[in-house]
Amino acid sequence: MTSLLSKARAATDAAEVYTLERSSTPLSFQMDKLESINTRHTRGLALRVIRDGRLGFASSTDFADEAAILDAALTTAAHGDDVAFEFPGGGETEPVDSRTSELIDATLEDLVDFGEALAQRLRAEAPKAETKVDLERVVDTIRIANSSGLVREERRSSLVVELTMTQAKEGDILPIGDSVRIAALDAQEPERLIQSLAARMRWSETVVPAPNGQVPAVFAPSGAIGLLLPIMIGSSGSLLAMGATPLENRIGEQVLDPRLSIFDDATLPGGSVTRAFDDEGLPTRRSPLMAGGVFSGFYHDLTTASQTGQAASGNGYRSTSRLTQFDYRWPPGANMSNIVVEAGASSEEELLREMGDGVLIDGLLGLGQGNLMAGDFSNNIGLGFLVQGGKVVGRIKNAMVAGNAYQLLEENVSAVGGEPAWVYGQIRTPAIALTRVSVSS
Amino acid sequence: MEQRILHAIERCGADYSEVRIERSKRSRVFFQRGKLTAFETANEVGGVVRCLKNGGWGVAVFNDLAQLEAKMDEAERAAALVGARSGGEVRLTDVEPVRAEHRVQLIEDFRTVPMEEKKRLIEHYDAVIRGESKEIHGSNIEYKDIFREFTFANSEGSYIVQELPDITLMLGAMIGTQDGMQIAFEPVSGAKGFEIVRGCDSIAETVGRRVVKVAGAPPVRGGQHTVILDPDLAGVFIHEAFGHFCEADFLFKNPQLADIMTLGNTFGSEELQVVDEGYLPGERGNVPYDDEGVPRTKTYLIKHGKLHSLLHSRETAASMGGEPTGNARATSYEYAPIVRMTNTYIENGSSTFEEMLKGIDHGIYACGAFGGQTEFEQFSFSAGHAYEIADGEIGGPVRNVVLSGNLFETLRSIDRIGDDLQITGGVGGCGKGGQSKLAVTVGSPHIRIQNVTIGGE
Repeated sequence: MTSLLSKARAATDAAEVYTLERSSTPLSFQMDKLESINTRHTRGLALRVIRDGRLGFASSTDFADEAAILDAALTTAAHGDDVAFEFPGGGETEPVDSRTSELIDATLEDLVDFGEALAQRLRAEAPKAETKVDLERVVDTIRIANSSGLVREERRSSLVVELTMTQAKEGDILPIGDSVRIAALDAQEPERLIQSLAARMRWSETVVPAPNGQVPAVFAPSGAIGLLLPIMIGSSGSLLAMGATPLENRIGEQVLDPRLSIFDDATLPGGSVTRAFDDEGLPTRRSPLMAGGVFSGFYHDLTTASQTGQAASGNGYRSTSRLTQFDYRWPPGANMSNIVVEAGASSEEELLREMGDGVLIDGLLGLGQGNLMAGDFSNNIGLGFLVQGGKVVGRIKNAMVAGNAYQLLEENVSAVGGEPAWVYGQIRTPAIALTRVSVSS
Repeated sequence: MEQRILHAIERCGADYSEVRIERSKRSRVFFQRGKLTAFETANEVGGVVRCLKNGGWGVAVFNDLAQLEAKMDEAERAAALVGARSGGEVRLTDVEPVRAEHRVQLIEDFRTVPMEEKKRLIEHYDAVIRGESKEIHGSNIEYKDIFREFTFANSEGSYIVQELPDITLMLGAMIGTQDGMQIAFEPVSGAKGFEIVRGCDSIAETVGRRVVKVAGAPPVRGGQHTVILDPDLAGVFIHEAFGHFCEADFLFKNPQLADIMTLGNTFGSEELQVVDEGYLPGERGNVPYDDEGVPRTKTYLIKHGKLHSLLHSRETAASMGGEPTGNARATSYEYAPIVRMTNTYIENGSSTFEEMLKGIDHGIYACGAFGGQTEFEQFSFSAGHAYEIADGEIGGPVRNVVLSGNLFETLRSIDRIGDDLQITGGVGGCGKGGQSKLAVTVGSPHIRIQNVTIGGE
């Protein structure tokens, strides 16, 4: 990598080399039988260059042919976008290694044993269902070096356990699933997940008609993401740079209910975007997005910070999807770190009791559908329940929930729950109860 | 390379083994409101090995081709472990080995078009879009191309080299309203060359005009509606609402689901035929052989309203007693193939669009696909643009039209099938099992459906 950086520096005004090496081991179990083992070892690099004030980018899996990737980056730099930032300095720091020996030292057989035990537990809790367990151990090594002298290296490991149970009969198919991220072969968190999924499955045995109209709702964490996604997207520096966010010019204003405090936090252990530094080498942090409902600021990478005249916040990640993933193939953009919603006090049971009559929304289909830029979402309620007198009476189906997230989270919040959970590995949120929201069926 | 691959396979001790090597070259130009958000090129090489040993699968993925033999050993060891721990139930249906080479001739090879020219073309479309109205906030245009070459070899003597070009252009526009930013877009795509993204001025103009119309549109009223879907959206509907359910890997280890999908079960009217056509040259994602070396075939999923066939891989065909249909596909070398759709469409019926309109007092005409998702019997998909229908006439635009339903009920509620089939590839792709954005095409004539749930106030 030093050699490529030197070559690039000689031909340009500034350069940055990024490499990602990833070892992952996905295992899958159907019922309690191991179905497949995949050992994946991928690595790639990306080169960014600045020449005559223009930015170029190229990526490759060929570490040997440095001339080729340099040529490709220079070609795009010749006509690239005007650049108003510099690659950050900061010298060389000690490599950061947050890998756990429990995961690194685990053999394939250890992983298989762990998965098999979970698969058996899942079957025991859901005897009438078809069950699946997917495990994936991922070990990443990220290296960044630039012509301002910055050198960073970070190694991370994680084990993601995904559990799915499907119960099907003519006219009624119920899939329930969730995942959890752990740092050791410890069954405690997966066991908790098994229990909660089994409880949802028991609630689903009775199907009842869905309501139609404006109804009170408790969004459990995996449903609450539907409310939060537009806010998270609206807080993006790239949307600000495009002039496309409702939050433009609203820093310091009361945008949401005062009970909502939301952070962008790459320092919180256990999240999928827990990083010491971002994909441009900047240190990451915990930043408020909403403090007591007051909008605190946008998250930026170097590009959007310079385009908007705001400070870079260490949110430059190489990802193309809405939820942040890391890949050498994509140039850095302003992306979320872990998103953390501060918890209130009430348990789910208490929230349902306070609500009385309404719906409990535990999962949405088609996340991202609707016009999220404007805050409008519209989703099928993949997993939802009818609540009467504070108790779940059965599952509702063929229903949709829709609304504007900004309006709902400003005017219709009745409570913020007290039991936060990770959703999609990246969002940590409690349940959010609304006084009313539109349900169509 | 061929000798090396064949030698590695020969020395492997698995019961069955295969190697798929992929080389790709791609570029992307992303232009958002006058800024080049992305302007990049990439080169990629990688491979995946699959081994079957004692009835268990082992897979190894790698970028360093020098590791081929080591990776085959790794996959074989993994397969042996799976075979031992799983009871070794995997069988593969017999297929003829194939030696073939499929090279493409592009009219204008996008690999030789300079990046500067791609950028200038996008800037031109930006000007065309914004030229439609001063009210337009900006354009949102993404151009992508990728040229892939796959080499597939297996221990049964198959050796297939295929080339697959893919070019997509998403022309979008944004307009600010008191209800936030609204968007309109149109895709252009194909397994073709740069020639298809030239001369799209009229499409860009359409996008500009449409976004201005959307600006004044009220949100759709939530509830049950009679809906006419345009070919684009009806294609996404049938893919999401039915196609996924025919993928036998959802069914072959799930007797409960397999039971619901018994061949011969009635799903729709006599007039309904649904096809997954394996190879349509020039359409996105289309090559003659699937990722197990099986020739792609045209498969009737629904014939005269009844379930006629499922979509199979060699493993699901063996397990369920079906024929392999050439539907084993992987998004890239990073994955083992799973059962995926190819070109999925509803065949022509007999109704005209006018006949469909006539029967509607109040309804929605929903067009253009913005995305969709299925979770077994529940599906959801959203329209790019939509209009009210009143007293048999198309009226003003409405926005935020997201449709949802129970697949079985909805198929039975299709009461008119049109005569104007169109097939399209879109610009995104299908996601399944962690493998996202696989290029597929979908299609249909206009169709009319009763009692579709649309979300809204």
